Parts: sequence; C-alpha cells; structure tokens
Amino acid sequence: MDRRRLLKVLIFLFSFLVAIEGAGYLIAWKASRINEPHITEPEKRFLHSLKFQNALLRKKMEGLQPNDLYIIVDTARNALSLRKGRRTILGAIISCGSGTILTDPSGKREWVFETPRGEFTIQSKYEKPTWIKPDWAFIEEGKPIPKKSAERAESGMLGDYALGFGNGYFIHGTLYTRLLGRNITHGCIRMGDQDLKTLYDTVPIGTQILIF
Amino acid sequence: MHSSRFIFLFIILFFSMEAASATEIQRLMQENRLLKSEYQLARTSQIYILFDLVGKRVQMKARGILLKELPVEKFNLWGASVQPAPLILRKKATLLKPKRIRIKPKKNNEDTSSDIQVFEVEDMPVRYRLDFDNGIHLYIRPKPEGVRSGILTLFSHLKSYGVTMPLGTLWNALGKKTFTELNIYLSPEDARALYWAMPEGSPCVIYAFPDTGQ
Repeated sequence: MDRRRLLKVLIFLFSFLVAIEGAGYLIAWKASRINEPHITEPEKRFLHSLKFQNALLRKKMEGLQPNDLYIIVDTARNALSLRKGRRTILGAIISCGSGTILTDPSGKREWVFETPRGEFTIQSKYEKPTWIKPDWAFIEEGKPIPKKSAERAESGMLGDYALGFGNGYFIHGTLYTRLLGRNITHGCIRMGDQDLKTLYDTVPIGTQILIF
Repeated sequence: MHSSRFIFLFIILFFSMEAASATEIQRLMQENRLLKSEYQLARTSQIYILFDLVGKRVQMKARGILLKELPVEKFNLWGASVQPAPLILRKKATLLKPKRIRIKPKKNNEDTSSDIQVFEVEDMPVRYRLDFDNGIHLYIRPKPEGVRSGILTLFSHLKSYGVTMPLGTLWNALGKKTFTELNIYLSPEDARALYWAMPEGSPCVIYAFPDTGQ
C-alpha cells in the first residue's frame, strides 16, 4: 500500500515537472517565433532611403575614427600599437597594471594598481623625468611617508622619457626590461627604451590613446 | 496551354520576389538598427563590445575602430529574440571568480623583488555568464576539447536545457518579462580575453539576426 502511494507521488511529481518544463519550452518557442522586426508601412516605402541611411551611418562612423596618429593599448596582451588610420607605425611589448590591491595600514585608503581603460589623450611630455613617489610607494616599501616633497623625488626610475595621459598615469621607460610583456606595474605603462624613444619622437600632445 | 503555364510562372515569380524583398527589408532594418546603436556607442569615449553573431565574431571597438576581434566557434539562441540595441553588462558571474592579490607592505627592508604578484589574463575564467538588461543572459563557453571539457560542456547543456532555459522562461513569463539565453563558444584564450576586457557596466550590442542560431 505504501509503495503504491509512493509511486503515485512520484508519478505526480514527474508529471508536474514535465508540465512546468513543457510550459517553459512552449513559451520560449512562441517568443522565438516573434523574431521578425516590426516593419511599418513608411519603412517599407522607404526601402531605398533605408539603404541610403545605412551607407550614411557607415560614413558617419568612419568620420569618428581619428585621421591622425593614435595609440592602442591591449592590457591583456601587454601590447601597444601606434597607428595612423589603418596603418600600424609601431608595435611594442609593454607592461601594464598588475591589478593588485594595497591597503594603507590605517585601513583608510586602498589602491588598485590597474591601468585605466577607455579613451585618453597625451597631456604632457617629459625628457629625463623625475618620479615624484606617491604615498603608496612608501607604504608598499614599508617606509614612513615623508613630509617634505623633495624627499619624494627619485630620478632614473622612469627611463629617458615620460608621456602623461592624466590622473598621474604615464607611458614611461623601465629598468626591468625582462618583465616587459607582463602585468607588473602600478597602473602606468612601461616600454622598452627604443620603442619609447620612437613613440616620444612621433606623437604630439593631444594624441588619442585607446586602452582596453 | 501556353498562357496557363505563363500565368503559373508569373505567380511563382511574383511571390518569390515578394518574399525576397520582405527578407531584404528585414535585413536592412536590422542592419539599420545595428548601425544606429553602434553609432550611439561610438560617439562616447567608452570601449564597447559588439557580439556580431551574424558574422560569427565578437568585436571590441572604440570610436568605430576595431581593437580586437574574437572568432565565434558556434552559438545558439533560446527564447525571445534580441534586437540590436545598446545594452549594459549588469553582472559577470562565474563559479570561481578570479581574486585580486593583496600586497603586503615590506617589513624592515626585506627583499621581495623576486616575488611577482600579478593578476593576469591567464587568471580569468573560460566559463562564465554575462547578464544584461531585458532578461538577456549570455553564456561564454570554451570549445569542448578533451574528455574533461566535454563532460563539463555536457553538464552545462543539461543545466541549460533542463533547468535554466525552461524554468527561466516560465519564471520571467509569470512576471510578464522576456527571457533570452545565448550560448557562445570561443577558444579558451579568447574567452579569457573577453572576460578581461569586459568590466561590469560595459556597453554592448548583440546582433543576432533571426534564424542565425547554430
């Protein structure tokens, strides 16, 4: 008797599950049938204008692309390319942000060492740059944060050139060339000496940088 | 006899031309919507992702410039159709979320120069879900290679076709919402690269013309 009852419950549960699943499948099938875009009568009439509109949109999109030099940075592959139109002028191996996190021992501040993504422009150019060490550099080294700004200056760390692209981020040289190609920086973009010189000599202030 | 044949031929030709022009209008309409959506995103300073399933590719773009292209191995679409409108990536979900490393400040001038602590593209997952507005869920999966990957893909299919797809559709239908599930198969390297390049909040466009699922 108990077995029969259990069997009945199992059959009921199975039927219930099949009904629910079936309803899901049916609704999805119906929804997938309504996949034709709604075409209005004026749209039908203006088939030619639609073709023209599409060609115009493509042209407008091309118009958004820079005609001059621009830089593309691939943070996943640690690769930089300098382009003019569709032509690549320079391809370089770089180092981007490590993505690591540092917390101030007081717990009040936190830094994520990531290269920012999006669209930027070259805002400044420096020869023989001096690194003004930010607070996180001292915290990371386990040293006290100096009170005098002169104590923050460190020369030679950024290589021969630096190109600023805002918020304290730079494209600069490196002493650690063997680590090029790896995500190792605090957010800046490091380049080898020769590639950096080419980039510095080629791009003017205002050059667009696309980082992804 | 000849005239009846001619009329029959004319009818056939008329209907086939009508059908062809309707498909053409549909294609142009979708293309127009795609171009409008892309133009809207290309005018901003953001990097955007175009899931072009018609062209079987995923494109990372900015200002209309192609930054990177990932070929789609195969894909399938379940549920309500997707219109090529700008979407925002609301959530990235994966079983084991990659964790960023916390740096420990050095103590007493200790030398830690040999310890490289980094968070790289190799640390990204190959199987994950991208949730968009309008009940659109996009699953990224690696192309099955080997027994382990094959078994995992089989489990993913069982979960999708047995649980998430029908129950998700039903649940959303009860709330008068639509539900779409897309499965896109990429190479493992490309799946990792896409996860890396798509932070939550990224703008996207999905272009999946009707009947292109495979």
